[in-house]
Amino acid sequence: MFNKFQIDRKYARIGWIMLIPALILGLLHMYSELEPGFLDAKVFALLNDDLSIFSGKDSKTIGVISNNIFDELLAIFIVVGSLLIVLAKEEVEDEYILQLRQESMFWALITHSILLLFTIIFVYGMTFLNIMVFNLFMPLLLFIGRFRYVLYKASKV
Amino acid sequence: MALKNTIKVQRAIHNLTQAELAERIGVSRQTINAIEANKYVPSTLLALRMAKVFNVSVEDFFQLDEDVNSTKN
Repeated sequence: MFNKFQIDRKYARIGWIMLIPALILGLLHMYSELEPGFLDAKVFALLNDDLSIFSGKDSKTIGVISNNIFDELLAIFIVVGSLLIVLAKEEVEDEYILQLRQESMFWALITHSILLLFTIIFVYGMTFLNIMVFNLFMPLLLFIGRFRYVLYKASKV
Repeated sequence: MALKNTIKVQRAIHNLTQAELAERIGVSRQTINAIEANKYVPSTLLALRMAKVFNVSVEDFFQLDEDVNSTKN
């Protein structure tokens, strides 16, 4: 089921190079509001809700707005990096490895759903939104973690 | 799993390591290991390739385990 989407093994390395720094900077960004000034830019927005009460005028319009694109870049790097890792073939990509992928994918989806339900039921307010930001990337990250773990376990015997 | 195998014996007869057998039939060493441990049931294609390496028929190293209820997968 995965084979036709799979890409060359070399992309895994590019994926890790994108993912690891983006994850570290992403955590820094969430906890210290790190936003490099040179990344202030004019961007095209399809939709925009201005969260500030004082400047809430041109919300929800198609147009160009000012925004610091640091978090956008980080999110893109996390998603694209993870996807490259997920889609890159193993050294020997055979039917057993594909089965391990399939099992890891279901594991990741189920775990993600449980985390999501837990967050919905027990977390409220701004913390809910903050945790939902993490949850966005969880299916990909949980899959990568689980798949690396079962591969490691299978190769240790 | 109602399938037992004697691949380890066949490997010993042909003096092959897991890695060597894996290379001969184009799979990873983990795959041979999982098959030997009855953790993974290979495709017919893979079973036939193994049979070719061992120069025997598939039933010579894969048998239904009659002790286990065969409907239990």
